[in-house]
Amino acid sequence: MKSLIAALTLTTALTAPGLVSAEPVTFTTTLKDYGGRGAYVALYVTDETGAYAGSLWMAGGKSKYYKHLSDWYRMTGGDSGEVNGISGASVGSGRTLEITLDLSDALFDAGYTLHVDASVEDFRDSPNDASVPLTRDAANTPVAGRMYVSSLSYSM
Amino acid sequence: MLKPILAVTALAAIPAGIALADGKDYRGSLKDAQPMSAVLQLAEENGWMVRELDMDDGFYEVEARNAEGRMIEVKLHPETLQIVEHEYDDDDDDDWHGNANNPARAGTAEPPQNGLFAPGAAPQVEVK
Repeated sequence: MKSLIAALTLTTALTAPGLVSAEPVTFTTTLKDYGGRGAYVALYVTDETGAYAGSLWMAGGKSKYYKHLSDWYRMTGGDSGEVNGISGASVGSGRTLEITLDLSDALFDAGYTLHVDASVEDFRDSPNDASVPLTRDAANTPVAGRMYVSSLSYSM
Repeated sequence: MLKPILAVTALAAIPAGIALADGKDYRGSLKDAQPMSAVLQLAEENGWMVRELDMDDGFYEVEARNAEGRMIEVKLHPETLQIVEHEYDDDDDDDWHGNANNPARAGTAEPPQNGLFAPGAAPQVEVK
């Protein structure tokens, strides 16, 4: 038993710093000049199995429109509590949303993927408009979006 | 003082029928929808001062101040004008299109403890 406790103590000591250490990461999402009204944009993360892991930001103030961010909505069940404290206004056509977050180091090089859903009033919804793996190697490398997102990148 | 206002988008929405494109919620035809004048008449009967009237997924959506002075959002069936949803919208500072010049995070709550954020970290947001 003593050895088990010692082992647990050791592993906890080794892993605990990794769980709490963090660093600021800046996510930059530039929208195309699509010509419509402000876009609702959801940034969220899935794990290595594709399962929803959590949200990073919701640009768009009215939860009744979140259903148009259809992948995010399906994964979260539309629970606006998922973005409580991490939501703001929608993003205008051609504008760039820059978000700096203190994220857990454990998110990187661990199979997680960042996704962006986007939607514009009276336009088509665009789930998974852009996505990028969360790895240190992929940082600072913009990826192109499909419909509303011109480019998505992150720096750390 | 509020006056009944029809959003430009509402006028554009009906002939285009875009709101029905995904067909998720309402599968009828816009040809069977009641005219907007009927919605406004219903609003007047209920004492609603209409601020915006448009369609979303084929349903009428009315944003208005009710007879008690509270902001409401009401979803109406396009054919019967029956109330499908009714909610209070006292936090009336951000429409669909929002205010892209004010991207500050809403409220004062810290990020959710979803394992992604470092404890106590406050997001910094800017729209350029």
